[in-house]
Amino acid sequence: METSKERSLEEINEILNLAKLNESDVKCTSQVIYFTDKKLHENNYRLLQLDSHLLNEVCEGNTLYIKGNDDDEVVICSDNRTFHVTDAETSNSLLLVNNVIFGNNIKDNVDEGKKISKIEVCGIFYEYLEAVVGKPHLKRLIQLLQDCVYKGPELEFEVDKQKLITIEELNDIIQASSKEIEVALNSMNVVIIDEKVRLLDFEYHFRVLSYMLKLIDENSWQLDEIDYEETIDALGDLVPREVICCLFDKYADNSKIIDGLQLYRYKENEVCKFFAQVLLHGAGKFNLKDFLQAWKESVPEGMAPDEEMLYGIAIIDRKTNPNVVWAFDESSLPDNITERFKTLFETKEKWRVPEISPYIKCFATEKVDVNALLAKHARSSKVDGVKYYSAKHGK
Amino acid sequence: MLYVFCIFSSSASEGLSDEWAIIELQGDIKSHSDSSFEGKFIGDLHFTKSGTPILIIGHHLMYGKEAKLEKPFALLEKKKRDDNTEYLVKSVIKNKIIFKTRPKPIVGKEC
Repeated sequence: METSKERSLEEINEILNLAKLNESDVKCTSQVIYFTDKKLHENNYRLLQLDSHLLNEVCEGNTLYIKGNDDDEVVICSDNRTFHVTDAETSNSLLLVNNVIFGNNIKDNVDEGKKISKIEVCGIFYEYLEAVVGKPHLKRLIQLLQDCVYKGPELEFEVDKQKLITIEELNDIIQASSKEIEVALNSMNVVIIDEKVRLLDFEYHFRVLSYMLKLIDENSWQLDEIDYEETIDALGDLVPREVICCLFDKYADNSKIIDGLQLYRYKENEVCKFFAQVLLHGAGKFNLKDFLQAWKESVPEGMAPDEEMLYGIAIIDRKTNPNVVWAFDESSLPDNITERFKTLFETKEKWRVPEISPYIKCFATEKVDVNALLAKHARSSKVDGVKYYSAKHGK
Repeated sequence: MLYVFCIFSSSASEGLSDEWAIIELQGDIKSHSDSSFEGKFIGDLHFTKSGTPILIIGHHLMYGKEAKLEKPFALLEKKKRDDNTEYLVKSVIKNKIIFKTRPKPIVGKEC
């Protein structure tokens, strides 16, 4: 390697000739490659390999976020996706170069004579960052919100205000995209009070929902003629507006408009499900027949609880006498898929697809759906034409 | 310790610089002496009339080829501003010239 001085045409042609090539064998622009004057190995450059989603984000000019924790894997988030980042090594060296003219862009005009153009190597890389679309890391979200439970205005004095967090803060802490965090919060009985994210306490949730449903009787409303404003007016002194709005969003749907007034209907499935959880909460195993009776009596008149509503929240065992039912929540299950299947089959030997789906759908991806997961991790059998799944290496 | 760094892409209208590319070599570049690389001459790059890239480094000649990167690279530049670290997408690199043939020795002049 020679020291830096401008390279002449003679020098270039000399080595070409030694290589038994003629000036006329090559295109008329020759490029001479130099290392940059700046520090080569202490540059601030990194290569990030882009898949089609990330390429699109970058080309659109969108901002991406690298979210890391010293103990965690690093992720890159776009507005709606999480990418898991790993260091990929290459055995080749990748020279980062500036101002290369590619073959097709060399205008081969013999009349203009020979040209020399300079290329600068600004870095040598033996590794690059690889980003693969993956699941968001949401475990921390659940942990953090355990300290932010809302039990009603009268119990606010118990709460350590230092621990309360805003959505913006969560976006910085949680290794997930803002959209994925929003979706997770929407599924979690979360209410925003004074800009802080609060997890609604189970008992308080039940109390407020009961107040709301009681208004149906008190006002002799039809089930599909629920008045939102009147609900707020009637409960406004007892319950913060945010909480009523939150539960109204969760449990009510638009039904019809009468005289310009939008009316609502409580969602039967959601309400019944919640009342089942209330009954089973901390109750251990419940006699199925007694449970179904109590459940039916607990829900507003006109709503019909159905066993199918229990999928994902409770397990029914028909092998015992009498049959029993007990609460079974996904959050109690292991995060590892093999361990989770093991626990599921220890809890109940045979499952139908709709029964087991809620507990494993978090592992499903665009390419591998729930049925594919079952095919891989469980064994199927048919009893009276109904398909059941049981442990792969079971008895 | 928790950290969040932003990666800023220049907006589509400004356009990303396309003056950057990758030259991929099998193996590594070593200097004869232990002196630093900065500012040093490496070699000559030619294209044959038919468009095949030729790289001559010292007394070695390699034939290569131009290739589109299957997955492009974003060239990120780390910037420190006050206490903040942020990254800027300087360029999206879509093309490379790869030299993976065995170098042919060039005999002749003393080196």
